Amino acid sequence: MADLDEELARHHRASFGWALACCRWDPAAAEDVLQTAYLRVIDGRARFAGESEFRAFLFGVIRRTASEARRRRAIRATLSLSVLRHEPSAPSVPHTALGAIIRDETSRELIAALGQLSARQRDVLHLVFYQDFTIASAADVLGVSVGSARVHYERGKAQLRRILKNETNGAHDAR
Amino acid sequence: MQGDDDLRARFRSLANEDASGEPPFPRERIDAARRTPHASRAFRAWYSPGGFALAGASLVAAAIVLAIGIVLGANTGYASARLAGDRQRDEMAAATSEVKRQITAMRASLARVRSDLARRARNGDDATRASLVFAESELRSMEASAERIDLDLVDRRSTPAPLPPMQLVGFPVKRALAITCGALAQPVPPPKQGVPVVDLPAATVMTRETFGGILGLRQSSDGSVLVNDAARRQITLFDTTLATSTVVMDSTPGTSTSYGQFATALIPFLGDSSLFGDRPTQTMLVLDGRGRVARSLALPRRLDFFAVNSGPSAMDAEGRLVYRGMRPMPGMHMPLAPQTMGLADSIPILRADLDFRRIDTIGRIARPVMKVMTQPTSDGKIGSLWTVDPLQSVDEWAVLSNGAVAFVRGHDYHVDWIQAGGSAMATPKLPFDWKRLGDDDKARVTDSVRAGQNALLANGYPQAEYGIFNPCGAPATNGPPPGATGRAGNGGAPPADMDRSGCAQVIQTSYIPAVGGVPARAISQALPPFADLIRAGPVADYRAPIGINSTLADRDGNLWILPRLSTLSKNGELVYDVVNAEGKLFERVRLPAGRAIAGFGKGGVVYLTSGDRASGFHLERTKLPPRATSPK
Repeated sequence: MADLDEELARHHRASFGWALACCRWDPAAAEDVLQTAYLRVIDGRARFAGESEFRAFLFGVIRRTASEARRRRAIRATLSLSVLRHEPSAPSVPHTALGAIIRDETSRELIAALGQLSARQRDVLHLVFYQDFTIASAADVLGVSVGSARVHYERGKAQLRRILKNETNGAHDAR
Repeated sequence: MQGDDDLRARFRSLANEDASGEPPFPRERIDAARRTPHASRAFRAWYSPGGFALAGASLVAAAIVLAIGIVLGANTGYASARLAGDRQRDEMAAATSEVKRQITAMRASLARVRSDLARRARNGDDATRASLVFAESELRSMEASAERIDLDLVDRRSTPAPLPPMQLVGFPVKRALAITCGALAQPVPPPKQGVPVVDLPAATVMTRETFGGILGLRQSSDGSVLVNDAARRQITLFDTTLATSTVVMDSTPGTSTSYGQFATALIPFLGDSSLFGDRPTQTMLVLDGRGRVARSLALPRRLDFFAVNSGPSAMDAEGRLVYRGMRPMPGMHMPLAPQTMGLADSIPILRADLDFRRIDTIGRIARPVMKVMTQPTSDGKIGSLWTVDPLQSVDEWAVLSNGAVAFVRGHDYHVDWIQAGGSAMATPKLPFDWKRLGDDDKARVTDSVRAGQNALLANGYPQAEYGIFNPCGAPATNGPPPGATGRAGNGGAPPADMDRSGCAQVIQTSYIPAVGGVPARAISQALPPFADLIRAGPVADYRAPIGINSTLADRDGNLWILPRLSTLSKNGELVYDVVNAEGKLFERVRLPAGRAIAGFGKGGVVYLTSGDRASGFHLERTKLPPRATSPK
């Protein structure tokens, strides 16, 4: 039991980063998702069978928990008819004053560019570059085949480069 | 992965920034969660005392509303199935009162007819005893039907609508549900496919007298019937039972009731009256419903006298006379040498306004090019033979009882209409089992037509469309038309007796064998055979759907078309396509075997002819079975 706590604590920083990515860099939502995922692991509702490394298992739980939370929010928004209100698609980075202070410009560009990728591509790139996962481990977390994860990785990487390059050129032109 | 260092650096920078905002590991919360089982947490989260209170309050409110609804519904009758049933029964009673009144009137009529029959039976008329017994049985059947209907109406009034087997009175919701479910459980009749085929019932009444050949009839509004026996040159008035008859016009010359020397059509005129051509004066006599001459009427153009009597002439909705015009000819002079000449390939349909003395052409019907051959006959006289190509498609026409004029187009079997209001329209093609003719079929048809023509010529030209000019003063050889021509009470297709220069007569009969298989009359003065009578043009790829004289108009606003071919004819019966005024083929009527239509009465009454030429023809009356839906 104590070992489980220790494992969770050991991966807490990485888990929070992954939860942020799954919640589109919404810190409050990421915190809730992370706590819920921890509770599931501790309750035994999510059991680690030892077939993969623990971090991959934990990230899978966090991803599913984030997905459920996102679905619940969508249902709640539908029932409250808030979807009928005109709300432009929110960018991945919350443009709060605090976010502007905390994030530097490079990170904000990266988050904005990641927001333009598909969810699979974004997740694969995050796991590989942010969490130093191998592509096979990333595929394990995402529940897809290695070949599929590799395709998402290559395409996402090329797309991300293109977006970042365009933004850089646009910024230079603006100057 | 060497080239990905830039991306990796960006992500690491992002990770470092995220780490600055990382929350502490929630160890206390995890410990607390470990001390509290998941089930109790979930219970507290979702089934709090407030939630219980809310759910309980909702249930109580729902029960109260339901109880109030049930009480109000049961006591006030609002939305009550019982009240709805009462309303329905009231409406039904109002509707059936009219039926009851009609039944009462029908009973009175039945009583009168019964007393009439009894009186006749007492008179000891043995000849009509069989028909009287039959009529008596029919009367009993009708009375039984009337009693059944009456009893049914009484039962419906006295008994409420059937309830479901459960005792549900007082529970409107349940009752309504039960009634709805019961209604849904009723079997739904399957929709009918295709055109229904109606077998015309066997005749219920038949004349004892025979006729030489019926050329149309007219049923008056009182049920009596004027029958035009063109073969015997008589017009006979029958009563409603067809049992008693009175000859109102006969062949005796020189009297005021003389039929005349030639077969003449009986053209329906206004009301019960009819037009009857008076050949010497070339005017039209107006006969009333009893066959008496009321007055004479001059046509706007005297030369049209023969045209009026050559087709199914009738009156339109405006009281104008619609008739088939004569085929335009290149000239009235007939060459004396054997030769042929082509004539127009269509015939105009004319409309004469008898008040304003105007004639206009309202349409044309296709007729194959006619050939006329003139040569001296064997006895040194001059004869002209008119022939048509029987292999080409033709159009037909008829005036419906509502005044609309129908043109049945033979090339594609559709109907063009001039409605009673004057508007023209075309309705879609009628269904027909088209038979494609291959080259072999065409050759076979051509050969058979030629062989048939030669046989006809060798036997004196029966059943051919022809004309013979007799010499001046020669005894009239134009006999009566066949016993049944297929035309109805509107006059039919009489022989057009033409008088040229006062000394020549022309006889025209249809090439198409008379309906019912009655042969045309043979000519006594036979011409030598013309081996080259018909130069049949290219045979059409499809067999023509209709022939000449194939349309009839009944008294109920329908058009009856006799197609050349019908797979529904089991034993040689005639099967008619019946088209309503909207141009819809709504039923096919199969006649009893060996019968042909002689005319129509109102309400689906059909007059038929039966018999043969040797023993004479009988007139029969039958009635179409009631239709499930109105043909409109």
